Amino acid sequence: MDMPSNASYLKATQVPAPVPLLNGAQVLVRTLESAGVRQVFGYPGGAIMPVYDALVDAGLKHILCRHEQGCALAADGYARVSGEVGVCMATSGPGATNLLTGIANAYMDSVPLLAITGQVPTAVMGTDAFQEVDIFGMSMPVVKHSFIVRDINTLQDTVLQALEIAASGRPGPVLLDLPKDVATAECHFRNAVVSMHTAPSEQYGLSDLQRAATALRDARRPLAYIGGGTVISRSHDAVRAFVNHHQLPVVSTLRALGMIPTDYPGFLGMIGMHGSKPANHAAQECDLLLCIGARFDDRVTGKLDSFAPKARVIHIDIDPAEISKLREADVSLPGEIAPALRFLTDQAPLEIDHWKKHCTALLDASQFDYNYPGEDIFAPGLLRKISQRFAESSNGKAIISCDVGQHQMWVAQHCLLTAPEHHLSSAGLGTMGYGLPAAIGAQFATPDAPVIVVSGDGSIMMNIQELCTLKRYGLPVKIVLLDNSCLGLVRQWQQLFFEERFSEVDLSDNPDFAVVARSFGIAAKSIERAAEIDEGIAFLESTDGPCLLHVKIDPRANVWPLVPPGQSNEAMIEGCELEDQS
Amino acid sequence: MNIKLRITLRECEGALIRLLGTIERRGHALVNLSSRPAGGQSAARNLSLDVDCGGRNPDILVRQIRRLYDVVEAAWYQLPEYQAADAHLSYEATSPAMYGMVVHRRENNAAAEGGQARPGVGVNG
Repeated sequence: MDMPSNASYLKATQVPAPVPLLNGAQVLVRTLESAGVRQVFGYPGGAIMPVYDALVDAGLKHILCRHEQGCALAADGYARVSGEVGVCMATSGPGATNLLTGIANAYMDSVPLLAITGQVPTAVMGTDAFQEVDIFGMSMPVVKHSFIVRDINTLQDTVLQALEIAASGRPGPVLLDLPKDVATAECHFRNAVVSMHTAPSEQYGLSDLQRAATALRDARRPLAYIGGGTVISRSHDAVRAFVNHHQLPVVSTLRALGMIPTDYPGFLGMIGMHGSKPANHAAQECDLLLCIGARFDDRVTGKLDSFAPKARVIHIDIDPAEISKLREADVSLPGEIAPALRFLTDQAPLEIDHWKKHCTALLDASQFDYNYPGEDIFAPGLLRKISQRFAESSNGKAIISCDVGQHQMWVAQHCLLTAPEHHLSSAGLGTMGYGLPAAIGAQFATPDAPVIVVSGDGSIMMNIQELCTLKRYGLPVKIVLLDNSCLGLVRQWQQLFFEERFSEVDLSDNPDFAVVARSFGIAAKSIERAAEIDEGIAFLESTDGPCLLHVKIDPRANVWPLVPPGQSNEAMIEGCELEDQS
Repeated sequence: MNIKLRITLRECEGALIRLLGTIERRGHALVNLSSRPAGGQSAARNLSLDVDCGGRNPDILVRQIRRLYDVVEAAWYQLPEYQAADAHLSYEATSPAMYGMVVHRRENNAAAEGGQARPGVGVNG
């Protein structure tokens, strides 16, 4: 496993004698360094100034983003790509509240994140002091854990614990709130050996595995349903070996796209609201659903009680609380994914030829047609082409960071994704504005990989200030901005489900994005006709530094297929069905 | 369904709020709460909570509670089952507030012995 293993952040800190006397800010920075943290995404301000003072002499690299939300989302992108804990920091009050969306984003997608906030001095906490908010209380529903450090002598241990909690088990964000007086108080930095309370967790045993093997062997139409947990646990090899061994049909959530190579014959695509027809149909027909690190999210299941109605369920997840949360599992396997899959891979290959042929037929019957008549740019075709070109030129190392909206679904449906950690997408929270800062984090994590942002004209404006961060650090991030002059996915829903009563989705007063990019010092180019696509891609490939390709697309373009909200996945509709009616 | 939760919680800043927030955010209603020190060397509290789960699964709630880092132990009982388990425990008051809670618990046990459970009034310890 590439991820830092449990207890890796609790190692003893080696301090040369004599033990130095440091202030709290210095202790914080030194502890982060000693734990292997290499960079921090942050924004300074009053209450956290002692920490910024300590950073002046530190080896820790600080990345200045231009908004605290950008810091948190950049740390998220860094964590997803590197497998390390992403660290962000901000001052108290508005700095801290601006981090919240990024913290929630990490919580929903189980991303290891440490958010450090400055706080007003302990003596005035609770007095409505300047820039005081109870970020500890405000963040509670969206953190894995949180700390207020009130005693300088506990700071070193608390930082190590926070990192460990963020990374271990099912990862997630941890908040560490540091009052200013603690940051300026002094103590001796020491060799820290931290022990941590952890509640005993449920873990599957041999009998559970044997029941799973029996259920799998008895099934005639088994289907693997893989989710983000396979990515977080870095179970790539085990997942691929397992499905290959049994030649098992597979569907994927948004988070796990790239885990199964697209040339694997049993890969049926993404499941759910904007999933592929074969994936959704296979789920409805299967008699055994092997849920691996997924959570029966409503975007996957549609109407829950009609999802996979004929299937028994085997559920493997590191988090026991996910098992049977929404769909009762017939066989529960709480614990590590990879060992369970290795056990199931050791069983005789399944004899499911009839089912495999059926799934192949489903796949063959629904090949996407990239031929698009007319002069307009067809976004799915453009994105497919860009992803193929960059995947080829980078030996499969290219990273695509999405924003949220129609383009996010087009990326999921049409881009060539070579590994799940090469696809950054705000899946659980759906945070518009995620793509650009996450790409910044990803580029810092992998300086040699091409990083491509796919954004929309709504999303890009949510964190457009981070163009300045690209320029500041000379990050060669390529931005593909699909501009339909509206909030496309909301418009699509208003068209389909609100009787075309379009409400506040028109963005035709957008600025000229190429001019905006150039004003930040970013090279930019605009295209709007299909004939210009190759020229546009050449611009992306040939520009050394950061650049933005502004692509005008048809505002009427919709994402298909689509399962209407609250309906069964069987009720999936395709564009042609509607166009025929109109 | 109304259930009884028994939880041992480390006494850390925010631990109780985090626990109660989890219960409510996960769609369960808190009906009653009582608390006493766990005793021994540990800085922990034993909590007893009556929770209305509506139609939700208490097993899942308990697993969600066990994920919290301040939680040492968590279990749930249906009322008769809980009272049977509780009968083996002895309660020693350590403060006037705790004494109030103990009286309440004993009343409940007495009610159980008479074959009649009744809602009590919790006292925060």
